[in-house]
Amino acid sequence: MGKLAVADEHLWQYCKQFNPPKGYVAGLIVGQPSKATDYVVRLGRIPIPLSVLKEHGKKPSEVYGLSLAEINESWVSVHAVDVTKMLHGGMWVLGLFLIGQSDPFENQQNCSRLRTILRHMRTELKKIPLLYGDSPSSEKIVLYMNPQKNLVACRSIDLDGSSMRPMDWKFQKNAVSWTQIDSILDVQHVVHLKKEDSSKQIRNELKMLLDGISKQVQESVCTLSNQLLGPDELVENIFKKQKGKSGKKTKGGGDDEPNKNVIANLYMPLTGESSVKSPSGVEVNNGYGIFYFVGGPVSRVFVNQKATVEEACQAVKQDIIRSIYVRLNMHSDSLVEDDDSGSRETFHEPPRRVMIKLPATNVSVSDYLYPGEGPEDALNSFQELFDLKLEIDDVELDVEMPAGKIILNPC
Amino acid sequence: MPRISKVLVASDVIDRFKDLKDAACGSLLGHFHDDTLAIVGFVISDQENSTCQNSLKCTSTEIRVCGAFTVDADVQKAEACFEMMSKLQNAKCFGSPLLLSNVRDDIQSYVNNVQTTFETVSKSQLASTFVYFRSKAELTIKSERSQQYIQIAFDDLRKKVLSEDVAFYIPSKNVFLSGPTNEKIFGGSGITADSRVKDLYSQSDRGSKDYAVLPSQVHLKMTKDFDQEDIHNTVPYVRQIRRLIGPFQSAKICVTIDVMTLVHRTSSVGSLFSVLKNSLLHGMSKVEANLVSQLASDSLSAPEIYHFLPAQSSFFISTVYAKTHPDVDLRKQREQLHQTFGFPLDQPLFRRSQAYQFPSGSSNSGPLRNPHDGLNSGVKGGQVSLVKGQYNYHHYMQDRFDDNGWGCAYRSLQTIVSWFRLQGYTEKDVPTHKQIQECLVKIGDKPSSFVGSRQWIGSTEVSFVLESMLGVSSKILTASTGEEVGCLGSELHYHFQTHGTPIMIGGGVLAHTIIGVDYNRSTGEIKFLILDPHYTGGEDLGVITGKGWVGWKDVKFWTKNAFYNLCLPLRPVGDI
Repeated sequence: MGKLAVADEHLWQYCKQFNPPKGYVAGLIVGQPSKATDYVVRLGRIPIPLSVLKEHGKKPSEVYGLSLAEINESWVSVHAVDVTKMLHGGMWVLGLFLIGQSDPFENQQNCSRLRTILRHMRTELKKIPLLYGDSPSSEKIVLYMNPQKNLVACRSIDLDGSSMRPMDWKFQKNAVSWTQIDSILDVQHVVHLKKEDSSKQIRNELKMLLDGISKQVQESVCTLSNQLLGPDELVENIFKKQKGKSGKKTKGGGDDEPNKNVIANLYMPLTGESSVKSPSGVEVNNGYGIFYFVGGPVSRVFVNQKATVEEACQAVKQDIIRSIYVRLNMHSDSLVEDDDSGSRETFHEPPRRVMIKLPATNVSVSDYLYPGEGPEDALNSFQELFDLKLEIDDVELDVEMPAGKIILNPC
Repeated sequence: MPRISKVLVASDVIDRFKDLKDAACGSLLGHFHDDTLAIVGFVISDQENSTCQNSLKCTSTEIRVCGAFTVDADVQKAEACFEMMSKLQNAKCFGSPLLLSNVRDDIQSYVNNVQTTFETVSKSQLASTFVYFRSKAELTIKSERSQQYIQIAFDDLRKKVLSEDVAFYIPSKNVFLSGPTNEKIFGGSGITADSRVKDLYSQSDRGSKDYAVLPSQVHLKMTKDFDQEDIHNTVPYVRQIRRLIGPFQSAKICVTIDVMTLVHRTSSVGSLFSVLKNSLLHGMSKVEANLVSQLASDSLSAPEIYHFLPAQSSFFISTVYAKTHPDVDLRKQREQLHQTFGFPLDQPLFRRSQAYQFPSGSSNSGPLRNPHDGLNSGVKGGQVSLVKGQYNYHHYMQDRFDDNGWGCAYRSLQTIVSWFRLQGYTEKDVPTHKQIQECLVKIGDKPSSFVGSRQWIGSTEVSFVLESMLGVSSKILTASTGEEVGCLGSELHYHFQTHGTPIMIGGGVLAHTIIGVDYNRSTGEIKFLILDPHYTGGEDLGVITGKGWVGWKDVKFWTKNAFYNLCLPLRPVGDI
């Protein structure tokens, strides 16, 4: 038998609510792949765009089945990109699920249609390198469920080859124990503006900063719990080593579950090509303004019990880059030509990261709130992306301090 | 107070003492480890103590003032000198200073007013006791083009290093040091805080005569801590400040902090972190000082650190030269180094081209340097005198240029120019055959058709090119037969003693390079150390020495009835 995918029981309960008489209800599989097992954290229906609903004469937010031909790869892909933006590093859209009456794998035409949709999705996810949107394996999952017959069938489709192999799928209780890895990036960048200001210049500078940060993060050495471990070691070993070091066993403390939180630190090598190309090694320009990009964006990732150090460190790095990319991208989109250029100082606050806890696990996903937005905005966009209604208590709002609260040093 | 049970003094220090002027005194530079004090150098005190202070900045942070010396017999003069230095250095000097008096002849040594003895050690003995770490950090400083803002930029960097948000990666054993304790030292091969520095390098580095140099790559922490009281988790924001009063000058400066740190081989790995950290801070302040002083004279180019290990020194001397300042403008700076460290002013030591050649990771495909090292001649009772310093072995077929059969004198000339380059007398590149021909046409020695031809050149042409390209004059000697070359023993001996340059010799159809002579004045027996430019193979030292492409030859090597011309390039004495 091939690979195994595990998902929590409650996701089966979620899927059972759909039972289209014809066609399929389609959704995305979100989780973390590993060598032997893929760990699924969310199954979420892809909403049918309003235009399509109208065409079919349906009410907004009505759920009904569509044939595979009607499920358009472009809106599937757009949704996959939007979902990925909210995922922590190490989590990806792993594939599609379909709920309906007939097994799609029995029909050759359906199979090639699925392949087309998945390929398109991969292409779109790869378009933004800093999103790290495409999951590490070229094999994507398609899960078919027929709740009436209590039937679950799963295939893994290799997008680089032509194989379509059966895969094991299990819904089970407490399927995974996740280790949480936190870090705070130290962002301190100064840019001297070469022109009178314009939003285009700011946008360009932000893009260049982002590329620079991403390069630094990727090249850096990552320590976990202040240890530098071999890439193939298991993250779990950190806790064993800590136990060994303290030499004490907490007997009868009732605290059997060790603290599964790890702090990651990044060390950037001070090497590399300088951007200064002039023969003197110095570039002097007229500066019209100074632009500071500062703060401490928070990163959090979750890794499964069998994750290696290499996988964990990659997840941390990709989380940092993905998160900064998403917020700066949102910010650039919201930048307008400002007319307060007569004032000495302008303050831009890109959206801040908040986290939303998924049910039945400690894993969360992110949302980014513009200044003035609140937890209900996060819940709304969460519902749109993951098809789940949660409570305000599920939103962790104080992940990052809003910039407005920071007292600025005069310059 | 440190207890000294053994004092070592580098033999080159004792040699340099002999050349000191009357009434000279100064500070002794050394390193104390495990009750042994090793003196590796000295600085001469002068009226301007700032010069002396500046020179101290050119050594590794782990080499410090450990005592003082005086030429006079009265040791109190040394003591006074040490006290003055302690004041200047804010008591960073050593607690139990070694005081030396009468250093030109019969050295007397004292520690804590008690007469002591010392051992003289060679450079290779020191090299087998100590290693150098070479830490490098490349960064781009963005700042307003002013002293104040550059200092602010360095202050920020210093803060990071001081708060230990820094780590060193030592590739030789894959060791990552992010602090002094075991938890912060990671690496393969079971390296812990209690390991010794000598465990950090492989066996093959140990037998070498020179210091082993271990590269260390500086890393800066780019994440914040959680366990501090300040709030660190803040949304990254953008603050834009406009300069309403008109533009300012914005500078982007490419900076490489490149520092050498002397460490005893038996020091613990745990002690390395703070030692390397201090060196890094030291290097940063040197680079900063260079930038600030450049701005004072309204120029600005990248500060570059050069490391020198002259043959007559047993410690590295590192200086910062601004990238666009040509060597000629830096003479004063070099002169200070010569004078304070007690090196004679008769030959350059601190020119850029003389910087220490660190073994690079990639295999070197260039010409071999000094392939004659280690060859013995064996003339009974002979006196050996050799080329002084370094040269590259140029021969046929190099630089993918086929000159087989005609280019031997050109190659010999290239070897000579490489000597002048490596000794720092010139910054000019070694000329190609074409450039040599163009030079001869330019000075009117040859018609323009000469360029691009395969015509031979001889000793006189070699001397013309040296004169025209480098401003170097040569002495021409002749010998009417091969046997007569054997009679040039004392002249060649004198040449190598005073000038030490490679000699080009042409006779019949062949040109060679003479790089040494072994001569017995009373028996007349003579051997020549020959570097043969006719070698057409690759840069393989085994073949080159094994097959005699470089080697000692007796007088029969020269063709009996050929006429020989020798070009003896003269070293420009006093040019540093």
